[in-house]
Amino acid sequence: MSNSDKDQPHQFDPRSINEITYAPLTRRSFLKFGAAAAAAYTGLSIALSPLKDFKEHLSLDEFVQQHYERLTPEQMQKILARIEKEIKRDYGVQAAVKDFKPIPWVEYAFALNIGKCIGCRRCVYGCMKENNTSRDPQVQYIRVLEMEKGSQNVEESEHYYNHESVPQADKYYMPVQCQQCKKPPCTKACPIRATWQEPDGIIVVDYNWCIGCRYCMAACPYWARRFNFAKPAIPAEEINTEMAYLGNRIRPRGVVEKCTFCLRRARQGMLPACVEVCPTGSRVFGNVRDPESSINYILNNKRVYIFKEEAGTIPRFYYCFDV
Amino acid sequence: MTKNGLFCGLILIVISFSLVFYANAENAEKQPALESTPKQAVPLPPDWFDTTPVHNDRKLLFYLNEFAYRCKECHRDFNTVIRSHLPFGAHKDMVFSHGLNLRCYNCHNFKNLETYVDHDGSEIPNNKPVLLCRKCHGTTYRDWVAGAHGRTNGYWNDSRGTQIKLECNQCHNPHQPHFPHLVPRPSPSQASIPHFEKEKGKHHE
Repeated sequence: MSNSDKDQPHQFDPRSINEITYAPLTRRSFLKFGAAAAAAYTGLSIALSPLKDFKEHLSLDEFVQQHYERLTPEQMQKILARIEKEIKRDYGVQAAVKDFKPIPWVEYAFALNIGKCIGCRRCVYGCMKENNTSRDPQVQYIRVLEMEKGSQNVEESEHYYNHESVPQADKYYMPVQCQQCKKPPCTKACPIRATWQEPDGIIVVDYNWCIGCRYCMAACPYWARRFNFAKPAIPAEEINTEMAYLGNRIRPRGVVEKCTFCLRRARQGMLPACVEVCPTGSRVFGNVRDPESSINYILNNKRVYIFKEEAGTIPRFYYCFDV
Repeated sequence: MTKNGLFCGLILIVISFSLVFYANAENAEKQPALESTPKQAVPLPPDWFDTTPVHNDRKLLFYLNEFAYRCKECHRDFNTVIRSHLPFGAHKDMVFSHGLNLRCYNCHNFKNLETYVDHDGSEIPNNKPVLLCRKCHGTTYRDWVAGAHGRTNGYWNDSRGTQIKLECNQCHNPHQPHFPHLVPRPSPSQASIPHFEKEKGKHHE
């Protein structure tokens, strides 16, 4: 309360209570308010006009899409149809995108005979072809490390080697890809459960749920995850048109992807692309829950080690050697 | 009340105009727009992911002066039992590096040169080289049967499709059985991040 209020006695307002509460709209106030509102509206609409360019990237269906594990089969059918349409629009090929479910009582494992691997990198490009990874910028799931014989120090390995012929003397080659860990640090790092472990042991990424924060890439001790910095560039004639929702479908820009043991092939009973292409036969893939499988034979009879055992990730990818 | 309203309106106008100018300034700088269509990429050469085995020569033909001959064409005319370990006659250009296994008839059946020979001299058909090689390489054969040696193609799950195990002479040349040296496919691109090269250049300046 100011002094002036104290000195002057309270003056009676001659207007009625209705007039005070509902101030009449005069011509002057109407024009003032109207002009301000119109200016603000036009300004905002012009300022937001660049959002029109996002129309292609932000489909409403994709925006409101649920998490993979909460989708009903009908919703999944709609999503697959939408993805096929998007691929047709962007790449001009008619793809068949399907959602492959894990086979019950199957758990995959992979063995790689480092005694036999010669580092020819056929697996790298066979993988690129099967999994529709971007050619430019290049995305490769498999990295072949050239190591000194007698050493296990990956810090001193070379993966940019370009010899005239391989194997080089005094070197051995160790391809590294996603190890499909039983205790995956990447899925723990994901803040939104966009990546998780399936019952058959494959760690998958829902590319529509991924926000591209790349925490999983930082968490992975094997550097197995790749980020799509740009929209994948793949020549139309080279696109593998048989795609899986969680596997090899063409990724959108800004999401993380990784090796899925060729989920589309594995869940149909086929061998992964890197196994098919390896000229030395150093790669073996199979179901560890089948006691008769070749992978079980290797685990029982060969010398086997796992990569970065101290990380405690318990990989499903085993390196073995003869003798 | 009206004063407050006017004030708010003014602030809104200022904000909206600043947004407009910011958007225009961005356009003027011509920043790369979001890529709605992917870049054009060069296709990979098809032999980079070729699944043909390394030594897929299983024909029973002998090539001499650009002509192909079957074994019988020469060997029926004269006594084939030559016990030399040296390449002889038409075969003198051949290179052998199969260790101590240098005698032709250790593997080839001299009674019928289109077959292989078993321990007891009986014939092993040409299309089953595994039965021949297991005579000496028993441990490798054991691994191969179990699926731990040699490439397997097709299906990991027998119930869903056929599993093809490549046979010995699809990867090994029997006369030089050591696995050949191959030309490695190119190393990963070091410019895996867009504009990586450009930024790298900037850092060096």
